[in-house]
Amino acid sequence: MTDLGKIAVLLTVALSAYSVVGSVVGARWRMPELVQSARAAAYVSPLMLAVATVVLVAAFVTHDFSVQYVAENSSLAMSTWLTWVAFYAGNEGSLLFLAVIFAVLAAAAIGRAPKQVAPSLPYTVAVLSAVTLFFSAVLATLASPFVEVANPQPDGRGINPLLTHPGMLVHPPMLMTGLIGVAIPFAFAFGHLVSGRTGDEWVDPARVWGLVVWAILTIGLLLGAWWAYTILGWGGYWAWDPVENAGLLPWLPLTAFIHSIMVQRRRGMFRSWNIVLITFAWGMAMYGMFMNRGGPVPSVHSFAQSTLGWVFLLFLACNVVVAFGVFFWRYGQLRSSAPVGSALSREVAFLVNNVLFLLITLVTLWGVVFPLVSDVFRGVTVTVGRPFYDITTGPLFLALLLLMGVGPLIPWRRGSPRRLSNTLLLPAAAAAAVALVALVLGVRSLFPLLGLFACTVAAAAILREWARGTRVRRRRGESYPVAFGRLIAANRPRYGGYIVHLGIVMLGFSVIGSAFYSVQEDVALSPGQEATVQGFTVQYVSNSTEVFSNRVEQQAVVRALRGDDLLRTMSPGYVFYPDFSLAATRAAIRSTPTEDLYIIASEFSEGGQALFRIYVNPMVIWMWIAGPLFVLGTLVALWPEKGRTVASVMRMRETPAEQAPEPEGAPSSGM
Amino acid sequence: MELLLGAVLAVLALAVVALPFLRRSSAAADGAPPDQTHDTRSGREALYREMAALEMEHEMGQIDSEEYEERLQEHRLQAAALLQAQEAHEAEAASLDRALEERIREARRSRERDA
Repeated sequence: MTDLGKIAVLLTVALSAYSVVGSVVGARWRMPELVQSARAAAYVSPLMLAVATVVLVAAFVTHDFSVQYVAENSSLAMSTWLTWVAFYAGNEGSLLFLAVIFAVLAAAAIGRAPKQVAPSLPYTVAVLSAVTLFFSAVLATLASPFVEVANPQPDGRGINPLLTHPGMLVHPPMLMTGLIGVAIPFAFAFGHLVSGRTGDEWVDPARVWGLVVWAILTIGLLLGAWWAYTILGWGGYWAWDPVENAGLLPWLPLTAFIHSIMVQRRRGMFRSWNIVLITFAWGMAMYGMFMNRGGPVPSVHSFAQSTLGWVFLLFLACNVVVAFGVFFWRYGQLRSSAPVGSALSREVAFLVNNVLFLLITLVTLWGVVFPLVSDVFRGVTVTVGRPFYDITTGPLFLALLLLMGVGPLIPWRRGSPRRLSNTLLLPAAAAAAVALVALVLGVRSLFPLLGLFACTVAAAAILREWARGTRVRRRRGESYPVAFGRLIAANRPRYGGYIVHLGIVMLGFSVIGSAFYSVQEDVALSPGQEATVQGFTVQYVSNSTEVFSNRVEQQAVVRALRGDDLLRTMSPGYVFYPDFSLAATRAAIRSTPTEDLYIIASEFSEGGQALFRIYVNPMVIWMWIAGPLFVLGTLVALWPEKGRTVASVMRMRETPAEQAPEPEGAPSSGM
Repeated sequence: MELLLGAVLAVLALAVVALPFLRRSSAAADGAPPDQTHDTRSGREALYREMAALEMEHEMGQIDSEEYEERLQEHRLQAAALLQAQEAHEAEAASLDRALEERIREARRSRERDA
C-alpha cells in the first residue's frame, strides 16, 4: 500500500502549493473564487495526509517489514499499544506526524477564523499552506516513510526501548504539536501585516491559538520532564539538554506573547512588539525542529545526524528574513493607539515580563549555540551545563516569579504607589512569614529563601484577589460560591491566567525544593543489608533476573522504612537491550506531598550485591500536579466571553465615589 | 488497486478545489468586504470589557475614586462616539435600502407600463 501513501503525500504537495499561490494571487487581484478554491485546497490537505498516515499505521499493524521505516522501528514482539509510538519514533514518521497534525490545526484555524480577519485571511492561509508545503515536500523528496527494501527481513529491529513508556504515547505528540502549532498565531500576525490592515483584528484569533499552543507545549514539556524522571533514571527531570532546550526556547517567547497580546487587546498598544514576539517564537520553534532533525548538537532526544537539519535551518532563515522584511515594510501601520500612561501601570509590568522572558530565551539560546561558537572560533567544543543555566537564568526566573505576584495588582494605565503598597501588604507579610519559617527550619541559602518569598507573594496575591473580588460581589447579594463563579466568569482571561499562575507557583516550589535540597547517596548493598538516607531506611531484601526475547531484566526488592514503620516495598530495576546495546534503569519512586524517595539499582553482581543510588527529592510531586492546573487555567481563559449590550453598559450604575470600598489598611483620609 | 485509489483521491481533491469556480455567487459573497459597522461594534465590545474591568478594579480598591470617575467618563464619551458612528452606518444602510426598493418599484412600474 506504500504507493497510495506516496500519492497522498504528492497530492498534498500539489494542493498546498496551489493554496499558497491561489491565496496570494486571488487576494492581490481580487478574485474571490480563486481565494475560496485555495482555501478549499487547505481543507483537503489534511485529508490527504490522513490517508498517508493510515497507510503507514496499516503497515505497522500488519508487520509489513518490506517498508524500511516499519522494519527499523518495530518488531513482531512489539506490543500493539506501541504502534502509535512507533509511528513517530523515527525521523520520517515524526515528519509525517508533524505534517498531518499541522494540516489539521491549520484547517481548524482557517475554518474557525472570525469574520473580522476576512480581508487578511487569504494571506494567513498562504502562510499556513506554505508550512504544509514545506513538510510535505520534505516527506516526498528527502525523508519518505514509504521507502521499500528489496529483501525484507522476517522481523524488524524493534522500537527504541527508551520509548516503551506510557508517557511516550502523549509526550512527543504534544511537544511536536506545540512546536509546529506556533505557526498558527504567527500566520494570523503575518497575514494581517501583509494585507496592510491597520486595526487589531488578528489579535483575538492569534491570542486564542497562542493559548492553545502554549498549553499543549507546556504539557509536552512537563510530560518530558516526567518521562526523564521516571524512565531515564538519573534522579532529575530537567538536564538542560540541547533538545530539551529546543522545546523551551519557543515556549519562553510564546509565554511573553500571550501576556503581551493582552495589552494590544485592551489598550491597542505593543502592536509592533507583538509581531516581533510571535515571529521570534516561530523562529525558535523552527530552530527546535532543526535541533531534532540532525542539528549540530548531539542529544539523547534527537534523531540521527543528517543533512535534513540544514534544510530546516534554510526554511527557518527564509521565514525570518521574509517575516522581518514585511515587518519593516509595514512598520508605519503598527503604531500604538495609546502611549504608556505611567511607569507604574500594568502595561509596563507586561513589558518587564516580556523583557525578562526574552532575556531567559537569549541566555538559553547562547548556552545551546555556545558549543558551536567555541568550535568555530577556538577549535574546541566547549559545552555548557547546569551551572551556567542556574547562574544566568536563576535570578531572571526569580524576578519573573516576583513580577507574577505584583504585576496583576497594578491597574491599567496608571497605578498609585500608596494603593499598591497597601494591596501588597498582606501577600508580603505572608511571604515574610513563610521565609521566616523556612529560616527557622534550616534554610540558610539566599536563593531558596528569595524563591519561597516570591512564590508566596504570588500565591497570596492571587488568593487575596479572589477573596476580595468574591466579597465585592457578595455585597451585591450573591452567595459566596455564586460570587466566586461570577467573578471568574466576568473576566475569564484574567482569572484563567491566575489559575495558571497558581500552577507556576507550584512549579516554583517544586523546583526550589528539588534543586536546592535534593539529597543523593550511592551505596553498595548485599541482600539483608540496609542504608539510611535523610531518615529513610532502605533494606535490600532480594533480587531476580528474567530473560526476555529482547531484553534482560534485573530487579531488586527493597523495603523503605521510616524508623520502624514500613512505608512501602519497592522494586528498582535494570534492563539491558542487547539488540540496541542499551541499558536503562527503572527507578522505583515513592511520592508524597513533601518528598520523593527515589531508588535506582544497577551493577548486580553474582553474589547478589547491587549498587543503589538513593535520592530524597523534596516537593517534586507538585510539578506534576501543576500540569492539570495549566490546562484548567487555559480552558477558563479561552472560554468565550459573553458580549455586553449597549443598554447594559448605559445602565452601568453610577457608583458614587463615597461608596467605593477602601482597600484594606488604607487610611480613610486618602480617598 | 493502489493507483486506482490514488486516482480517486486526485479526482476528489480536484473536485473540491474546482467547486468555488462552479458556485460563483457564494464565492463572490465570500470575497465581499466585511460589514461596515463591524469596526465600531468590535471597538464597542472592547470598550465595554474595559469598563467592566475598570468597575471591578475600583470596587476592589485598586484605583481611587477620582481616577475611576475620570476614566469612566472618558470611556462613556468614547462609547457615545461609537454609538453615534454605528447609528450613522445604520441610517446610511437604511437609506440605501430605501433607494434600492424605490428603484425596484420604478422598474416594476416601467415594465407594467411597457406591458
